[in-house]
Amino acid sequence: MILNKRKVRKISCEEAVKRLFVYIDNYLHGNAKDELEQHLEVCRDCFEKAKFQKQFKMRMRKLKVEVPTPVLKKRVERILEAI
Amino acid sequence: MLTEAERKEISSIVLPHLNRIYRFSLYLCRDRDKAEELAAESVAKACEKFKTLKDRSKVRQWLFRIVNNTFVSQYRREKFIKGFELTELSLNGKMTSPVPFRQGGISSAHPEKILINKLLDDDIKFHLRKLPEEFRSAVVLCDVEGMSYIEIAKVLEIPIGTVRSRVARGRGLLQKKLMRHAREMGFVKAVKKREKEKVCDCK
Repeated sequence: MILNKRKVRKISCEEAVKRLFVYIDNYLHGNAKDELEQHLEVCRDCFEKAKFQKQFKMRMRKLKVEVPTPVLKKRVERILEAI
Repeated sequence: MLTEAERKEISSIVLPHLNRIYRFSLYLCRDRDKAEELAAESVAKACEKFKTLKDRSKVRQWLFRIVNNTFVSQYRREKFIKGFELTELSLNGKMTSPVPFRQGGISSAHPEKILINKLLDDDIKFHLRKLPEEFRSAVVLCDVEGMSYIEIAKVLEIPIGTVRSRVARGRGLLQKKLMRHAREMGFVKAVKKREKEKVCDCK
């Protein structure tokens, strides 16, 4: 298959899955990325896995934020006043 | 002795990050009181080391590194970390109560979708805190705090390859625990273990 006028090697599902995390973290580049994207275009199962991992990462970003107690805030203010 | 201007500068840099400092401390210590101690101590250390911060745009990374180093050098050694048993109260003082959901509409081919929509934040945080420390820090910094691999490598002072590996293994472990939890709660039926390498139609 030709992608952007370059020949892109076909990869297996096993290879695709190994690259998924790095891909969703925007750390996959060049041929490795092209090969994975080509695979995701034709493999429904791996496409669904990639979609799930992206959604799971977004879900983690939206976890309810823990906030410090007023006690900690006061303590930090005292530290900053004392320096 | 710092001038008033320097004191104001430190406050303006550190205070906006207090929530994040506390949140990261909480994931490290897994105990509210210890997390507050760690956060306060880290702020004090940040004030002492303020002159080592050369690039103001990297303040978050710098602060998180201080939190992590303080944790590693003091709290881990003193074994302040408390684990959570599945039967104990969750951090906010309430039992994580399973909310029954209808099972209709869940794709049997991709039951992990339940992890996105059906689990509560408390369930996810509970299991995230149960991860081994090295995986927990990596997943928290990457997925909760949204840091890049390079930033995480600087905070944890480990190579980028190690960051990749810990994030991957941490996520895998977390998702496995959450899936097991979802089955225990009855959110999803047990599914057959799929083959590790699928021969797909794409070949």
